[in-house]
Amino acid sequence: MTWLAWRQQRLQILISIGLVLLTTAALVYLRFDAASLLPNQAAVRERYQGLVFNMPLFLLALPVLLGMFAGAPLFAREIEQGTLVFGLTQSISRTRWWATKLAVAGLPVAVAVTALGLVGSWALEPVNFLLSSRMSTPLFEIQGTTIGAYTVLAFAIGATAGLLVRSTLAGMAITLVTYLGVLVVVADVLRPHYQAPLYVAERFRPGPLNLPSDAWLVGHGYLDAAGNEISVSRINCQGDIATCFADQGVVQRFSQFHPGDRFWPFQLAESGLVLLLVGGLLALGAWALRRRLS
Amino acid sequence: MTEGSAALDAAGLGKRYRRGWGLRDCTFQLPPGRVTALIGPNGAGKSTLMRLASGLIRPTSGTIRVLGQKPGRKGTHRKLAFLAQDKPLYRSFTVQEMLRAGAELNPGWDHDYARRLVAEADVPTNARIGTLSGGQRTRVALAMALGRRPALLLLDEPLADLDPLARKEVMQTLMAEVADMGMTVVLSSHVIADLEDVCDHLLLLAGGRVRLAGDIEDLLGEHRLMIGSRDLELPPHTVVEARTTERQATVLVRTTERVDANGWEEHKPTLEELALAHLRSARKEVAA
Repeated sequence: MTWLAWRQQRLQILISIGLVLLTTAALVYLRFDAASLLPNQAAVRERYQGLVFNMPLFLLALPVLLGMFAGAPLFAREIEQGTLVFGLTQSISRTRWWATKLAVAGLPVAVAVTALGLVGSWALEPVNFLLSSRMSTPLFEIQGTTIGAYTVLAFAIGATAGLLVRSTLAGMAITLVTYLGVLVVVADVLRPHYQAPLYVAERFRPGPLNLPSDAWLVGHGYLDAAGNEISVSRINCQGDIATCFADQGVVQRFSQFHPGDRFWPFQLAESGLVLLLVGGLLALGAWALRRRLS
Repeated sequence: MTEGSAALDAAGLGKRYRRGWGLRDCTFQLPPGRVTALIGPNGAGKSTLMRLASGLIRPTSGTIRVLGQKPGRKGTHRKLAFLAQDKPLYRSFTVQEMLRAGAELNPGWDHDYARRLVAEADVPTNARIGTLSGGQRTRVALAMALGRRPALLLLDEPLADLDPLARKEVMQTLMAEVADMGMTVVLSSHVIADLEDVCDHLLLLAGGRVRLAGDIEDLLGEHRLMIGSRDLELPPHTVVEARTTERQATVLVRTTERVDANGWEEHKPTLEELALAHLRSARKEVAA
């Protein structure tokens, strides 16, 4: 069965792995080239400012594209072309047929993209000073272990959606929409709470917050003399902001943030969370396979 | 027939789809070593029956046993081969790769035999499935089914969309292998003429129910086709169907004896006459 699954998916797998390897090679080149320019940060900024701005978007799209094209047709195309009936009327159990196809199509790409993420974290070190915190979207999702986990997620959504709706195209559309939804919800709603953020309050003064450059700010606001949070309106301020805020009762400002050294614990937490979701999706697929198929 | 000796044994078998019952309350046994004609109009439940037997779908009610076993989740019964109507094969595979897939998926695969069947069909083994003609595709699909060395072979409309020459060749191959291997075969078709020469057992489905089942010779012997003037009185037997034209009446009655009714000309019906009369009468029952 492994040979059969490989024969069916090999073109897709090879193209995906080729794409990932090219990207990895480009990142490795970036690392060495940027490192050779340091400590001259101005030179690094001049050469890589534009690239570093665009690259995260490409790397953010990569998992969903790879996962969608590998996952959605995996079962849906067999249903569309009728070959499902061939596969399921041989001397092999349904579950083994399903699991082998998933493993052969999904594992090589998952491993390749995870390697890309780990190399990426190392390769981006010399240019990190150009970027905002690597704990916020999109930098958090495109490196470390999360990029691999998100690839597996897109793949699992595609495979299960294809089984349920029996259409490659619809499966792809569902993958795209669901994936983006998960990405937004996880980043905005869940990630800030993997650990309690650090809290710093300081005497109010206008100007930027005084945080380490790799910290991820998740909340900030203003306190009155009694230490209660108050909402402040900037709209009616004329002239000096400090005076205007003081008139509204502001005494202190506070910020909540995750320091940069939480990057790896957060990476592992989020990867684990995404893989849990993958487990749920695969369970749904296994159910559909037993109950709904043909 | 004793319990468990049937190749296919259905008891109260039913399958309900969202749009309604595809098969309902079917009870029958197919004896081993016979070639059964599964006849019925489109939507009669022929494909549903084969999909139930091969374990692709689960019955809503009743049971089906394949060579004594209920279809499970471990794949199709090792001794059953099912050739679906659209002859599903991987289009991008070469014939050789298709045969290898058969070997990978089936512990009991007979590779030499499957290769020989393909060679006899003059199908080049390095040709892609997608480039084959309808006849060649059917021959490869048949080799894929026979390569499993089945004791029970289910063929769903195997001759549909084939030209007359290919129909004949496919049928000849099939019958030669059946004779060699002593398989039990179920052949479905809505073209009765395709089945008349090769089948010796009949299972007639209409509206998801079994209308007639049994040995074809016995069934033909139990029926008489009466032709006479339309003014004649109907013979005093179980009338399956009576049809009248302006002058003539054609009546199929079920009886084991000669009818010898006055004025009626009496024939032994052909399989086609028998089947069509029963199907028409089933349709009238539904309409009534």
